[in-house]
Amino acid sequence: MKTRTATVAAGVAALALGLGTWLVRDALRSATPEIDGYVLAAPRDLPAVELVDEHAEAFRPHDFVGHWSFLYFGYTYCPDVCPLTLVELAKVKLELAADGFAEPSTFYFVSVDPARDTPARLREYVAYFDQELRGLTGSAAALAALAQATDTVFGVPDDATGDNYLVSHSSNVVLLDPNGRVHAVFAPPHDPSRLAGDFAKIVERYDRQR
Amino acid sequence: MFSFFRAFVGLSLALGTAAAAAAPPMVTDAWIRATPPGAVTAAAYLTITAGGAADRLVGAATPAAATVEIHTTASVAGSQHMMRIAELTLPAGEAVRLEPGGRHLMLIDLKAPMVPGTKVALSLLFAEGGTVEIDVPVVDARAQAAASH
Repeated sequence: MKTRTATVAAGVAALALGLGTWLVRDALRSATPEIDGYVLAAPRDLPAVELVDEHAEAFRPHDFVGHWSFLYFGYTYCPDVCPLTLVELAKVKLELAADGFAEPSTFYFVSVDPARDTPARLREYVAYFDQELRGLTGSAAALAALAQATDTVFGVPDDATGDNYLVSHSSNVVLLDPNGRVHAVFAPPHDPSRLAGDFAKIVERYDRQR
Repeated sequence: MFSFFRAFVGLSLALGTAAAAAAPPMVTDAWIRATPPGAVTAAAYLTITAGGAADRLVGAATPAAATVEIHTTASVAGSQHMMRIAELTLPAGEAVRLEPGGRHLMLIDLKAPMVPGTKVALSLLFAEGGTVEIDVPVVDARAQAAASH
């Protein structure tokens, strides 16, 4: 049984290596799309962190697999740039639907302020912007690891007590591909039409390479 | 629009105001972003134009929130930092815009959610021009809201 598992694992590894080589070769043939932000030269795996979603359920990186994911990092006490970006992302979603875009995609708001943003708080917050918008948060360590892998920076003040403190955070939108890997980063300010167009370019290239 | 504004300023200057040392700045395009349920903060946006002389916005208050702060947003090493500033400089005759994603007034410790269609009283305190009282409409800026209008 053990030998058989090892054989299967070796087979999978060989297959992955072969696929990887093929993808790299193909990537060299296919130019990286010019977007407002950047497409990673090679998609990057997420660390195996455990997050929590807006229903207080555990959420792991493999839950990002099977669809394109848009991640925006912020906090619910943010009065300006977070609501602004979530409104723009809801418009991206409408735009993709209007364009008849068939690729499944999910939008996530990742709170970097877990002390104040409980799952219950996240749930009412995300639903306000879009019924399908998901909310995620996690421990400081999990968020730091996720942020690092997604080229995101954020800062919660050390003396953050009570309810009135400000949190700094990137205003990028991070795109994960259906393998759950970091694929591209969109830079602010986010224009819904441009972002939807950039996304379409990325998906077209991704599908061509498959 | 601009010539109208100039004419307006010209008229104000010509008439003069005996009481105030300086004419209060003109405040236009004010709105407050409607808040999600449970929100304790909100942002107000507006355009302020100082008239004949430069002025400074040094404070703001509303009965709808415990505190109002003047904020600016700066990008530092790829991170958006929202920072409190003590005052906002208003060069003479120049429209200074407080807009989404940048400068704004942050309403802290809301007494109630910001409901679209309602108006919120806001006092703006200027170093030279005194106090300006305005009623600011609460606007739902979501796509669904825009589509249903």
